[in-house]
Amino acid sequence: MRMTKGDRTPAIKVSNLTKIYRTNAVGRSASGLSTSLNFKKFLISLFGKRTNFFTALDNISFEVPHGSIFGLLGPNGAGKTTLVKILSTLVLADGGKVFVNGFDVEKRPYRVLKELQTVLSEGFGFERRLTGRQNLEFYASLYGLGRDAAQRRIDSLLELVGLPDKGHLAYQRYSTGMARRLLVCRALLSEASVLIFDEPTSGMDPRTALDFRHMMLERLSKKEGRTIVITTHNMYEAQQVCDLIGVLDRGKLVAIGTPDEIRRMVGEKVVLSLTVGGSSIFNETRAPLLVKEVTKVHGVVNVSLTENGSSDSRAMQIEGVKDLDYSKIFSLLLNEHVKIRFIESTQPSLEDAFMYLTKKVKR
Amino acid sequence: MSLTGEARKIVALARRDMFQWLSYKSQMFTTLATAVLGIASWGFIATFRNVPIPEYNTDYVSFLMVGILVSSGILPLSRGLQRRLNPWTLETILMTGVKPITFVVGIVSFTYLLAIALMIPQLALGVYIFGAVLNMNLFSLILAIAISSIIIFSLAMISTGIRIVTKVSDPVSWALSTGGSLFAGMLFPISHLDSFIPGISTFSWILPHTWIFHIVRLSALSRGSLLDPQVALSFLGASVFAIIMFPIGLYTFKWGIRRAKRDGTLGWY
Repeated sequence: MRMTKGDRTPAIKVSNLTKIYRTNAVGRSASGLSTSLNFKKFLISLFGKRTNFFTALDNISFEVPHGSIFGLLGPNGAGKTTLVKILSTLVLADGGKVFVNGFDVEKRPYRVLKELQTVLSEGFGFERRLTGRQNLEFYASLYGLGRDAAQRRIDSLLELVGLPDKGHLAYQRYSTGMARRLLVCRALLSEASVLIFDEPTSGMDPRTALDFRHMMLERLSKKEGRTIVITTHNMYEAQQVCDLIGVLDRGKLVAIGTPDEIRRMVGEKVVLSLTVGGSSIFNETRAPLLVKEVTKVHGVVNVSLTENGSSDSRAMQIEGVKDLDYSKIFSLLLNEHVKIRFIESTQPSLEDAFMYLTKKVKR
Repeated sequence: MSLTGEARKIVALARRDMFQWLSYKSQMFTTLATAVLGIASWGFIATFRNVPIPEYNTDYVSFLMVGILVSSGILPLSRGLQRRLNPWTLETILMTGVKPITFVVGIVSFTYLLAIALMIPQLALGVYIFGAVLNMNLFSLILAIAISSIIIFSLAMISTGIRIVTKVSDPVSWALSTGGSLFAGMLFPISHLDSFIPGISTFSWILPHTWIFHIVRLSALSRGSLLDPQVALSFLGASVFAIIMFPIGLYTFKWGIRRAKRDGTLGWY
């Protein structure tokens, strides 16, 4: 069922989702096995008594509109993979509801799997001794595609991901980048309108990653109108392709919004760095006056003028808020015959926002 | 659920396993050699101590040959299922929306067909070299194999369901397999056990393997006809096992998957 951007039902609706893992007494936890085993703990684990609990997702709610690209950001252990696996019907939630195109993932998993396909980052699920094409033919049969339809689809998908002449190679001969592209082919074998990519570009070289992002944005999202969810640690990628971003940390959804909205959550700070020259900059009376005048401009919070190692220029740094009056600053500088040799304006990046938001949750 | 669609998925799973198996040339050779040499070694032992087996109106060579053939032809079903249980593949396959029953039938199909194919040279060796005498009722034999397959297939599902949760070992299969090799009568008639502990052979009948060996031998060695009340009763007993075990197997398999999904360990080794 292909939905379009105008559809009111969200492609994904998550309400009060909670997942709590039981971790056994030997010390098995999300981060792996504890090294400190003892016989009593071993016996307890053997007979199934479990004492520890780990909240992987804590009352998460959000919606993903049709045709959008939703980025899920978060540090390791934040709960991204658990969330992706719940959406993919591979993990059952302990509380809350999840709907994909209006279908409940717990009550109608087979229907959901017609609407949604996931490319997991761990384990590719391909047989190493079979060729790339044989692997795709196998999955095409499981998706219920007829032989001829499967061949046509496989040909076009291999072409799409740039592997038209590699289908005959044994999968074990594929590089990481090729394997990732084959994974994309597998996800696209079905007609699913919602695609989830778990860390899709990890292991790809910059060129391949760029091509992948282009395909995701231009082909899958804009042309075919599919809804896409990606989990990523790559802030640049999230900034480039996502319409909406959710930041997860320690199982909590700490922020959700457009990339710009997320960036602004850090604050409205703008830093203007200038390299300036001219006689007034070195004049002991006029230079402090100029700094004082610039400080009075609307939006300016702080101004500093420092040596930069050059005999004919100095570094001026102007810190302000978002609606800084740039024209007033420049007219003040030009009136004093200041020569501007270099200029750079810096705003908070998505990475700054990510660091800020994930630091707020107590560890 | 369209039957043709599900059958196509079963064929896809079997084809994948066949391609995989064919890609290991040395494994093809060793599998064939093991099957032939295996039956040969048992053949030498049986001819060394050949005695009449009155229960099936045959001799020990024929009795043992059928036991070995059943053991290598039907019993590998459960091993096939366990061997194919690669969690990464399991997750990706389950995400295609394949039904559990289709998945299980699909992943044992090739192992089963291969085991049946390997029975042909084994049988030829048994009959033409070691002098095993087959006295078959073909209809009964086909029915016996069908009932046995359902029982073993159910055991395989139980084993897999538990293994999906425990990851490493499966106590149910272990108990049945160990109990089966000791008490089910693969290598000797179960009445032989009574000469050590009188009456113990009665307990053999609680093992599904005992029923499998029994009905296959009845139809392959004694020309057992379903019109014979004794034979019919044996088939009925085995059928009851199959009817009870199949839903238990399916339930256990689904339970295993659900439990692993709840624990979040479906993709774990």
